[in-house]
Amino acid sequence: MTTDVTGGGRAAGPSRPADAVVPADPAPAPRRRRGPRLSTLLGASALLLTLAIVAVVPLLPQYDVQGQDLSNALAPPFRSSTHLLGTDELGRDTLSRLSAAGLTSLRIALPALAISVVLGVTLGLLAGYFGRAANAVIMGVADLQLSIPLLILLIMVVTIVGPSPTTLTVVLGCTYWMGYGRVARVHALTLGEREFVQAARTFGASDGWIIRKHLLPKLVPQLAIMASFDLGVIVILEAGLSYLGLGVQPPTPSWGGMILTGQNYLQTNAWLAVFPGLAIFLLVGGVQVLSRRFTREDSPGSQVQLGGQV
Amino acid sequence: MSERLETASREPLLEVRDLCVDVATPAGPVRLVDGVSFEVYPDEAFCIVGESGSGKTVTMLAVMGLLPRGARIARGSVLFRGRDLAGLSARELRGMRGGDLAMIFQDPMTALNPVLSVGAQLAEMIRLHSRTLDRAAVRRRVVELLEQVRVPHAASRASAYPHEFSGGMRQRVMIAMAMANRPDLLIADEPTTALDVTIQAQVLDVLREMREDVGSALVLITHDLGVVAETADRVLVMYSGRVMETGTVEQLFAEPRHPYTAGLLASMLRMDTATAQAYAIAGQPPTPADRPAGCVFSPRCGLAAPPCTQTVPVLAAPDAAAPGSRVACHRSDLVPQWIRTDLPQLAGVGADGRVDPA
Amino acid sequence: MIAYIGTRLARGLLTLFGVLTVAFLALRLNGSPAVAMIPQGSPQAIADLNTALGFDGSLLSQYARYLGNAAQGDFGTSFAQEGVPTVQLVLDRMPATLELAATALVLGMLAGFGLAFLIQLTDGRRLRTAMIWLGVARQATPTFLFGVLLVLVFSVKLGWLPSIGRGGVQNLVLPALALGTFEVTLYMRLLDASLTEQLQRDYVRTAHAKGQRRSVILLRHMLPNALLPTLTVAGLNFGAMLGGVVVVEAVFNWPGVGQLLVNSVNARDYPVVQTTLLVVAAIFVLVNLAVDLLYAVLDPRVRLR
Repeated sequence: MTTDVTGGGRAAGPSRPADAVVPADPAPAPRRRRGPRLSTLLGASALLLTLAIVAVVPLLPQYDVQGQDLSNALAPPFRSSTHLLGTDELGRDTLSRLSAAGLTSLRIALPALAISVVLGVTLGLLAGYFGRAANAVIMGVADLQLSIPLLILLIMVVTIVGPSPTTLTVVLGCTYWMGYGRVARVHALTLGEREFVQAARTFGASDGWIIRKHLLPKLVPQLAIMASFDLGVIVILEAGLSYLGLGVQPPTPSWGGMILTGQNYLQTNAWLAVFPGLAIFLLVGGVQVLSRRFTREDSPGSQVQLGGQV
Repeated sequence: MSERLETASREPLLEVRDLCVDVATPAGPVRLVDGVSFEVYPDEAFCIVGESGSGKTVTMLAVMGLLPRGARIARGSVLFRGRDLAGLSARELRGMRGGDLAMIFQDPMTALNPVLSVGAQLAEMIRLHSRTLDRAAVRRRVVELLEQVRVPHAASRASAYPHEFSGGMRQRVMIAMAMANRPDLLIADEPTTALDVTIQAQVLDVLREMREDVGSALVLITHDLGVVAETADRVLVMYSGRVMETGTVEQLFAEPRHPYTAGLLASMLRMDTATAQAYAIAGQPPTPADRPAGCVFSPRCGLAAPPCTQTVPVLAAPDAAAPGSRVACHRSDLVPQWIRTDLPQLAGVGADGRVDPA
Repeated sequence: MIAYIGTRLARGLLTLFGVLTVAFLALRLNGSPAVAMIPQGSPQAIADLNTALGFDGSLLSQYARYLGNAAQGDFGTSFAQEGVPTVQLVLDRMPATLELAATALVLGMLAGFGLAFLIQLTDGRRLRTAMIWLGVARQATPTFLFGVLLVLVFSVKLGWLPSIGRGGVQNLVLPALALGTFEVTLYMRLLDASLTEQLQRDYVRTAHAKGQRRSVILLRHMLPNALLPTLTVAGLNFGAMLGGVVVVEAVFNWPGVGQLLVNSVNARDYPVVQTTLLVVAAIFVLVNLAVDLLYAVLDPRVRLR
């Protein structure tokens, strides 16, 4: 059972001799494995569990996000069938709120991710494919954005525009494009110089065709891996903002907000903070483990996620 | 250098017997070196020649105990001054590396640590094998070594960094480093391949000078027959992990007994013979995982016949033997005639098919 | 070398300038704050307040004034706390934040690098796998959540450490842990990957051929080479960590710049928000400049150009 989550370890010892005939194959021969790796299973299970909570719970009869019952506040979990995970400080059903919060998060994170990718790829292609000026401007903006820690940038923008789910989506999308931009740009740069592209141009291939046929097939898998990982990062960013009171506003439930209130009740009912935390952990962990499972990137730089800590 | 041919009366410095090196692959172990045997005598220059992938480097890495992870000596023995290196502990082997046995590698641009000065790296080599020298003595020795390999302004250059040296100078620094502790055996893996032809001569000169000064034997790995002609006393010809032929350099160049050796010689472009057409051995060497049955060279051999594809030829002295030469070929006695008829490129001065080495 | 430092310096200044401009524009986007502050006021009163706050005149003249003030170190006064210069508010809180950030960074780095070194030295595949898994788990946990969990375990359940505020060393432990554990996992993977990459290099083989010991090769030959690319990433990561600082200060009620930022946002005290942003960006630029300089010191190829 190998858990090669990031593949950080490889051969130790002296480097390969110059004329060793062991093929240096970029796509190594498939390993004989009995079924999927542990990491894939764990990641997939975690992700599915969270998605199930978000999708299935609203269908249950006891689903009730806003209903308060002060006489039954702070009820412990696993005791009653109407409140499987207990209740919060206002007697509201924790499980329902957990599910609704998850939906809110995904509703913000997924479009934000889409915006990031589209924006990033577009800008990156422009920068890489269409010459120096575009490159300078776009990369200049990217550098500027990178010089401000992400969370702080987000806080600043939220300060100006006010926190609403739509603004959050747009803001997260507009601040997270740089990673995709960089990748797209590199692909565009190297592609433009390739001989087969120059050859294609000589027989009249349009830039659009070149991009579609040659660039995207290589770009898309890499983007998919990055995006799945980044989904986790964006969820964490949104949760962090909500925790600070600058994200999703009450009474709409959010995992970050639930942890914020839960922190006040650690003594009496710690579950209030633990459950939303667990939900975040499962969703983010699941998505990131799965993404790492398919990544081939091993360079030191790729270990740093753009969002850093939240 | 031909005076050193009385091999029978001397003890070999290095004896490799039936060495087999395997490397682990997802599909199972692959044999990179398959039953290689040879001896190297003190003071002599021994060349291992062969194409890329012939296993020549792996063989010597195995001797030094520097095989990369996943590769191991599957069978055979390596005897240095009579001691089996495989039986030594890691620490003992480490003690011999750099002291009794030294190795330099192909690419001088990357073989030195870019963040340490050249002097520091030389000093490290010296200090690893002599505890007694104090700092000043080490420093003097470093400068002395640099001067020996003809690095100008040696004293100040010692504190320079590798990127400040040219390729040829870096290789000479490597030679100085390898010879610092006066090893009995120096292994040089394609030392001039990465260098310009004009620099090659310099490096080979320095190599020879240092060897003569220290009195060490040399195992030179190369695919360049010109280097072999210039440097070697005795030669080992390898192909696809096996030995094809071995003998003195004069024997090999004048009367190759293996079709592969003949082919290599014929494909060497020369200025002193008129050749109508350049020669190349048709085909490609097999991958180590896919060696053919019988003689590994048979698919490409102009003399191949039924016994060649069935049994692996044994390395043995040919019929009209000169002492010390051995060949692994079922039809080695037919080779001289074959050369006369099929390899005009080897036809040089003399009607008897003999070609003199340059 | 001079050219190298020169370009880096110039780029840093340019970035700061850019941040200044962005901060200026950002605040102007909301329109005049006077209306928000005295919504019932007469147009004259509002106009007067605008002038007092520097929101009168054309955008360009405001910008010029703004830059002029900035050059003299005047970044305006707080809305919420009448007449107090924003710079003072921020600087007052700096020591607390630095204490937290520096502790977390230094400890995280040392522990991370130490673990990576240990893994390489012992060739510990198991240890590496375990560390990678721990890293994955930690990265999937938001720092604020991790902080809350730490409070739950060590403060509420075990009662060993305080959960709020700044004070003696025991107050520093949990916040530093919350922040630092992320750093540990990051730097461990960073150096480990970098060292593994170095293993493929030819000079390592040469060192082995000299008969040098593995531990010495790791320490003396590989580490300096492996640290270089790590440095650049560390510089970038520092900025990311600053985000974590904000959140940790919120969890533990730590009286630092992050808390000031969040409070100011909630109180609509825009000048303070703006100045905080500027200070943070400036720190980030300085840190990256320092990294560049460090690079020059450590890498002879850069130093001697």
